[in-house]
Amino acid sequence: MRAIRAIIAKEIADILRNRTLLFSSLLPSVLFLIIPLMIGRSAIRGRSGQLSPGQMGEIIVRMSPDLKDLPAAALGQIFIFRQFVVFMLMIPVITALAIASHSIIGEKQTRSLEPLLATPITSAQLMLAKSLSAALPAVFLTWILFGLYSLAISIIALPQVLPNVLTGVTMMLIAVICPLVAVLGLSLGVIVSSRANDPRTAQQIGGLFILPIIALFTAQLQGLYFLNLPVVMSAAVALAIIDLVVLGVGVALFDRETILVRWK
Amino acid sequence: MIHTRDLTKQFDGKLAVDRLTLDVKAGEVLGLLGPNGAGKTTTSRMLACLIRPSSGEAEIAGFKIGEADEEIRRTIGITTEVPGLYERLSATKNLEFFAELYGVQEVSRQVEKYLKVVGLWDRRNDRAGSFSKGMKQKLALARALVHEPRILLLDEPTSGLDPQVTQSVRELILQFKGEGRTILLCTHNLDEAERLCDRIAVLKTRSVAIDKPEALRHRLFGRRVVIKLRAQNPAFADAIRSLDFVRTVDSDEARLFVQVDEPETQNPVLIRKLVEAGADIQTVVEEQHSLSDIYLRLMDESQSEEPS
Repeated sequence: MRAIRAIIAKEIADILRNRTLLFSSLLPSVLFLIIPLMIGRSAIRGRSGQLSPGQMGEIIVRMSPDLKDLPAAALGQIFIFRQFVVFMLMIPVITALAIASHSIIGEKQTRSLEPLLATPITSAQLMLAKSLSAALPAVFLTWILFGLYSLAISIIALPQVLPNVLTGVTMMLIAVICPLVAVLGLSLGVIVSSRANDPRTAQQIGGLFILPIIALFTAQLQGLYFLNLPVVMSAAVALAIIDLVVLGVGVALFDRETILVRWK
Repeated sequence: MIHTRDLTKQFDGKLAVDRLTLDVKAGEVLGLLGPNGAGKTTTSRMLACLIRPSSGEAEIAGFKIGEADEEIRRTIGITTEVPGLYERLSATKNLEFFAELYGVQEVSRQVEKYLKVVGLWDRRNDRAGSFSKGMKQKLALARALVHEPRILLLDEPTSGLDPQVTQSVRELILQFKGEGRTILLCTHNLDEAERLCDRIAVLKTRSVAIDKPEALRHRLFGRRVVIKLRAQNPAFADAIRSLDFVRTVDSDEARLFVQVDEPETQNPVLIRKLVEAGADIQTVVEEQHSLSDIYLRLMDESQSEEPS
């Protein structure tokens, strides 16, 4: 435990001193907060893009029939702000990916992995510590930004909106799916970093992995599927399985000999 | 303290280390010499349980590699060819981190002790990235020692350093040797090996020779005495050829080169014989062969033994 704590403390200290990393992970995350709020604000003012407030209201009532008595404006706002909860799931992926790739490629660049691997820490402990160092900041950052998102909704939207955004589905997305996608992001970070020598390259390759989230977001926005508790719980199980597989690949790559001999 | 038997490592079918057998006694400094790709770093990595041997076995401080890797890692301190520091962290934070990983009890005391030993105490709060190459190397040495290992594996510890820093790093290594630590020193630097090592092992994938530099010198070149004369005379060479302990005699216009087994006891007899023959002797010295001569001879021999 002491070794894991030491690695996490060192990683966090290193992250806080790394301006490039802070910039590259905080800026997109803040944008993922600002963009939904700006679109939500436009919707409140009646400029909602492709869908009219009436159409959005129809979709949201199909998703949650108990909301049918709410005013059309509130339904439109609930639709917009619910959709963007999925959008915010890109924050843990991007942050965990950025931290993991900076952490590992940084160690490759300074050749500090060999002395680290020469300590008595096991490969599994090292992988766990590196994973937690990437996942914890990513999850906490998402939770903080989600808190700000909720606060902003309570300020700019109608009073009926926030309680109907903070549903069981939303809480599952933020409390369960968010850590799972963070683990996915960091595992992908480890895998990509094992082959890349530049954090930006790793992030660019890793950036491809947020495409499924964008696809899910777009499909939901078009009303092609509805997120409800069974769907989110099934997604959580599927993600957990994918995480285990991808984490397994990451652990295999974290073998001492593989790192020293195969990683380029 | 370090024992290997037929230690072998292959990478994708290519031999990196071939049946290496070493015995390093407690408190001894063994120099691993060899050209690039000779297997020095691979050997060091196998001994540090960083990579697995393909075959053979090794025992470090009584622990077998492959069976007690964590205990072995706890027992050894390692420096790699590049210091590999966390450049955004201070010297103190770098050492504290490793002290925690090694489970050191009194972290602050150990960190202070070794920052003082390597002369970096005054720069303890500075970022490692702001250090010169020599300072980084010294910090890497402090890192290798912070958990008080009995065995040190040092890979090219003075590579790329200026002569003054090289000297101070060598003095530190001698200090660690004086403390009774067992040291395996991988180096290209023959002068360094000569100054620091009790014995040397010359590697070229497999072990070419292991012994004290002096013993290797005698084995490869024998012992030749060079006698400088005021004037040369063929009778002088004939006179000493008659002595039964003289192996060979060569001469040039002013010198005799006499190969003997024990100059310490045989030189007086040799000199008396020459004086009796009428020689005016100016100097008598034993011919010296540098470690570089030894190394090059061993490399030549190993080259000629390789199948073409």
